[in-house]
Amino acid sequence: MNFDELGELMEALRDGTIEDGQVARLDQLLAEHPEAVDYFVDRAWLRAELDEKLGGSPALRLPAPARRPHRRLPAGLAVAAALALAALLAVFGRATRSETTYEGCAILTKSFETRWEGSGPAVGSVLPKGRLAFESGVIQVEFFSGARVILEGPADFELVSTNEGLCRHGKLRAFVPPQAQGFTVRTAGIQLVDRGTEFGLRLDRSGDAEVHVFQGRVEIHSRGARSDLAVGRALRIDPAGVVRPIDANPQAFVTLSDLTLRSAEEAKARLARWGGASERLRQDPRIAVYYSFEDAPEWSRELRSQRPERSPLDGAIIGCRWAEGRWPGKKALEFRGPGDRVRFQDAGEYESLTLMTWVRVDSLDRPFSGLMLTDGWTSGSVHWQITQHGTLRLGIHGDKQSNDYDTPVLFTPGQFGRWIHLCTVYNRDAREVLHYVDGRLANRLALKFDTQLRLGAVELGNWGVPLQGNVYAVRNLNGRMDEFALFGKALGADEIRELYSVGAPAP
Amino acid sequence: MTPADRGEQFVRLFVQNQKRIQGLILALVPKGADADDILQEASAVMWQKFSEFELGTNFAAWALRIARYQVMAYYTAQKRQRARLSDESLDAVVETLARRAEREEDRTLALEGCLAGLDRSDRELLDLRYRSGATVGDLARQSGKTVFAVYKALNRAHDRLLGCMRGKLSTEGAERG
Repeated sequence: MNFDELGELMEALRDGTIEDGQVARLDQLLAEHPEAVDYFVDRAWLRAELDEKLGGSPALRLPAPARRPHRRLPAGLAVAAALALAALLAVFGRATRSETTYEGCAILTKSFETRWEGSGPAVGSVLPKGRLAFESGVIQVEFFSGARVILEGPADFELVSTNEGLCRHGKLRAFVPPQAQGFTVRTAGIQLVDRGTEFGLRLDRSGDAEVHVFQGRVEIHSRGARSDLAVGRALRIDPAGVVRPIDANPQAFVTLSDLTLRSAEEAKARLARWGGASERLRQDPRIAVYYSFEDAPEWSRELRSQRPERSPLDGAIIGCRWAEGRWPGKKALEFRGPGDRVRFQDAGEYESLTLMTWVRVDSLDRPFSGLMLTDGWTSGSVHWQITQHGTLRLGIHGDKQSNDYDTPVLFTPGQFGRWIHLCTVYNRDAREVLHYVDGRLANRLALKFDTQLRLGAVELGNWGVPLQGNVYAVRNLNGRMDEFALFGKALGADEIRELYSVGAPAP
Repeated sequence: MTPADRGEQFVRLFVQNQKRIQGLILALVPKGADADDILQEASAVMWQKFSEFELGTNFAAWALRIARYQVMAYYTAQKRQRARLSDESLDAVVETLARRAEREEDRTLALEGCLAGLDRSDRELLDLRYRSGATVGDLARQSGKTVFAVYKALNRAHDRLLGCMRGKLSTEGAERG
């Protein structure tokens, strides 16, 4: 018997890339061939030895034989046994599953006409400690403690912790629920500790500060002195530290309802602008498949393509629910269950192609989260997916070989929950793969081999190849998709940037 | 027997059979945190149940059975078919592994000798696979080879080691004879 297949299956299992059909095959080999069991055992044992020898997983050392105590104290003996066991478990203790962590102290929940200094964070992102600086516009930041701050530009504000910020200049309105009491905003000269529910701070670049208390009470620490400011009161503090009372003016600070109203108007304008661009896109002769996710009523289980007439390009919706897209009023499909998917059939053959989508990834639960995968994995197949490490991957299958083209890690927990524009170009003429994220080139990779691409049966958000009988691989996306396009040509960088900017949920 | 003796006894037996146990788990579950957890849980269960183990009987068989149940519990908890072998296959693997009489120290010695005699390319490949923890996909990307070629190369390197070790272990066994 040739053990090559068995060895390959064992390595695939180790990597976690084994498919259900392959597991069945492994099982069959083991059940039918006693010599396969011998080989399996040999190689399994060898791999554990190599893990230790080459991988440096620490060898377990026997603790030095415990001296027999002169007096047999049961408690002492129990301790000795416990020590021996502790030594043993300590070795494995390192293996305790590590918690998923990321640096963050707040979430950017709203952004209205914000002009950031440099590149700013997207709405929905987790904000790590550090500066938020913008020239104009309004943002809302929700601290993990529960405190909420609306900041008006020009502003320079630093997130210090989950319940503290440092304001260099800008205008802010803070809402502090009881669980976040003690929320603190510092400036160069003063420190405001919230003891109630709502206050405003205006700090000019010159150092002139105004503090207004709209609800509750605020402690002001300045030059070693502490004073309390009660509801309805306001103070002006000049850079020299001279304090005088002024009239409190709630209208001088943007409220949440103002911001919500203004954001809604902006969203409406953006949705309308995107709608026009989407109409033009569906007429683009290079479009092979286009879903705006807009053409069907909410009860429909059909995702209409760019074609006015019905065609196999219309996607069949399986499991997914309709949900809100990039803006209120924009439709999206939500993928959540392991069976959720959209299936369509494409008859084209492509020398080059461009894949584009707007997605919101909520988490990466599986080794692969599918964006668009051909059912098969044979010559001409295309697998566009996100790996659990957080890279975007284009897998291309040629005649007798396949290759994966990955971006660096894009998705970290801080990126979950925000809308992101992904675009990947397979260019056979230039012999390269280009990945774009939010309109910007993420990386460029030379083709390992070139091949013509044929899609056939395709799925969005999952992988539909039946491995054996009714057994399917689970590669469902956990998140939402609200636009998808497949162009039969390679798009240029400028066009991709334009597609991004006209569809960006906020500037 | 005192609890201290009992503890020592357990640790000794465990160490003598540790690679078999790890080998079994890592042949049934992808390498990573889950496999580590299973090993940790299995060793804790073995210790808890060690009072039920009859000294003088086959510890490997007993421990592998526990490891096997931990793997099955993991499959169930994962609620997935993936990587799940049938009971018959699992039994065959566990029994074969338990029956093997080689001592781990002898195997370690044999492995050291065989690794030293390995081709440079085989050795480098194994280093990448075990030291850096590269997946087959990673290896293919790094080397510019196809995944099929990487599988082949991995098979070759492992098979050479296995062949060499088999030779060493059988002559040593004969010498001890």
